[in-house]
Amino acid sequence: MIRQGHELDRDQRESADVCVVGSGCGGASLAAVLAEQGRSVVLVEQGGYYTKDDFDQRELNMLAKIDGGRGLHASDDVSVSLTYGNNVGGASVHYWADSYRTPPDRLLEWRDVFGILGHSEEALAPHFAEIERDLNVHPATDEYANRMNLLVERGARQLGWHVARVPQARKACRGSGHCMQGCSYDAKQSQLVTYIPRAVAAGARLYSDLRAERLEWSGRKASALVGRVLDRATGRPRGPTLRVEARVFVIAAGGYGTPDFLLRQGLKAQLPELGEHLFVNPCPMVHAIFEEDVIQWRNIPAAWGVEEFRLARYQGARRVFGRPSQSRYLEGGYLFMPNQLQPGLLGAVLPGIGRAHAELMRQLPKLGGTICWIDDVEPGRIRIDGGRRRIEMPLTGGNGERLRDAWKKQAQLLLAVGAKQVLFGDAQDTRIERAEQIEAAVRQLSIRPARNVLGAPHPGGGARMGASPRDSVVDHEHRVHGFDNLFVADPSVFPSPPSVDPSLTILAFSRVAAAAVAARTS
Amino acid sequence: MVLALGGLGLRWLGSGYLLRAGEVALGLSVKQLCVARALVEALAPGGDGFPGGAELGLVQRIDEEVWAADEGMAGDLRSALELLEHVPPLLGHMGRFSALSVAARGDVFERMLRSRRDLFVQVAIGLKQLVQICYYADARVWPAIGYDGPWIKEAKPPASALAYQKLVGERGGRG
Repeated sequence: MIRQGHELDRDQRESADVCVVGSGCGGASLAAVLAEQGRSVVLVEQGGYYTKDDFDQRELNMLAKIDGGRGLHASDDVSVSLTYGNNVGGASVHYWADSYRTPPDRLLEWRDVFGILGHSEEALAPHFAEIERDLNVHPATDEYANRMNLLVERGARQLGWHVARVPQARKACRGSGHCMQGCSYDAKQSQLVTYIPRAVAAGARLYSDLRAERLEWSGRKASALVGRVLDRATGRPRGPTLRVEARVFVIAAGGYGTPDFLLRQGLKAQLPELGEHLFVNPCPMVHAIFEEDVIQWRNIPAAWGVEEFRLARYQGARRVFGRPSQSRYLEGGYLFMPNQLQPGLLGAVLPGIGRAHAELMRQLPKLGGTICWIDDVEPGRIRIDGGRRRIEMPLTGGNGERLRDAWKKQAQLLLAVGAKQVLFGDAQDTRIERAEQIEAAVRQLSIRPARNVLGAPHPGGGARMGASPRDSVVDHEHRVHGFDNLFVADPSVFPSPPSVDPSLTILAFSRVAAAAVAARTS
Repeated sequence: MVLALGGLGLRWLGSGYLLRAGEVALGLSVKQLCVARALVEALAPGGDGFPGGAELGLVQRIDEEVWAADEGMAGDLRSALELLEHVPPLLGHMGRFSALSVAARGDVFERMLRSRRDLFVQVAIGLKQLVQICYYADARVWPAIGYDGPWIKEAKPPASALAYQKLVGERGGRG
């Protein structure tokens, strides 16, 4: 059963074994697993319920439907643009379908540095296998590679960098290039077409357009969740409420939404780490004008990815997220991908205004570019100020070093494969045409607020996992410290960025959480 | 006396702003909508095969974004337009932004983008992105940039757009 906000005209009550807040990778998969095990599940989602028939491939229409803040939200100082889902299926509906297992080195780091138990490579392997089967994850094949993808592959090989096919969660992709607007063909295996239908088929009751507002407590236990129905046109409360009584509550509202919700419950005093240690994978883009048409907007965004720089190289010990270090950074600490933007977003991120900008856009077919997901090491923070969510995300320190190296490497590759001109997209509109200009150009790029256009698509860490409430928010079973029946199942629990697209890591972790919830509701 | 002068000053700051035929201000104030119009004319002037942002109704589109945005975001956008309107004297141009020539507005905006003051850059980047995404996402611009458009032929506007258009229509606007 799926009930949308406009279908609710009076207060509702529900009771269930499990109440899940959020329907992205974390919430949907957990709901499906538990429902299929016979648990009664109520799933609430703040965003709207849309299907492929609602995905019209128009950027503004789709930003309004499926993007949090209509794509307009940024960090406090406008250093990074916040990208997150606001719809049934969450960010998996607008993601690129890149689907990596968590690299074993990262799982080891989480165990050895942060003391995470129960999430080893061996423990997660069966979950990954099942998820990959469910989502049809496979390496991108040749027919998926657009010209920009092939240029990245060629450039990486030319430069001696490790490049590999990107694992994709797709079935019979048509190659329209509108992954970020939601798949109009149900080819991308988002939560909307995988675990949501399975959860509903197994009896889960899903409420969309419903904002979870407050938990009611009975000692150390949450007893009920109260949410308000939103008007989809304005995003404002419409009047009716939903009250869900449950044995267990799972918060899976995403890397921004989960810390936000828990902070609004007044839990910061008991859990001082709540909202701290935020990472977002800031992503610097570099654009290029080629002699040939590259048509970056068609086919899949990333068939080939450069993995050479996933792990940072240091002189001395490796730098760990959120911890000071005396080691000297050399290079890397990011995944490097071809970029894909439709003309509205591309126009917004290209430098300049007026006629000069229009002349740049006139060359759209020849405009290509790349993007790096920076594995941030300097933690940000989420707080609630006057009722408003505030995001602090530093670009200084280790994050700044990685940004500069990512700009350099992107320019290097783009020039190596024949770019006539490389544009860094900064507020000063820095452009170069020759490789020997890279060092000087990147050195003068400012990392002061708003000087560059950086997305922040993969938030996490704001309710991180650990052994003690002194340095974490949830335990190894995803249970919030100090509460018997409150869990978190989304990237908020990661102690640092997973160094690859987080979707599969979220899904696998969510199954670990599901097992713990199942044990409490048997 | 001081109060009277202050009152006159405030009236001056908010005076001289008129909606054009078909325009309706739902998210923005009349003043802010006039500043947005001046901004659109500077950032998306059109010509040489490109339609002008003003003729595309971009100003109304920006008003819609503000109307549909959450309270915090809408407040930020309104404040950004207010700052833009009164910033020119700090950047070498006497007069309000909306009263400057299109060329002078472009110069003010470029100076903001290249300013050492974070606030100016933050405001300029935010407004630039809003105008440019609305402009280049418009199908009427695509022939000029060689974009062949979506494969899904029928546009399906979001609930916010339908509600906004209804309100604009009720107030005699063109939307």
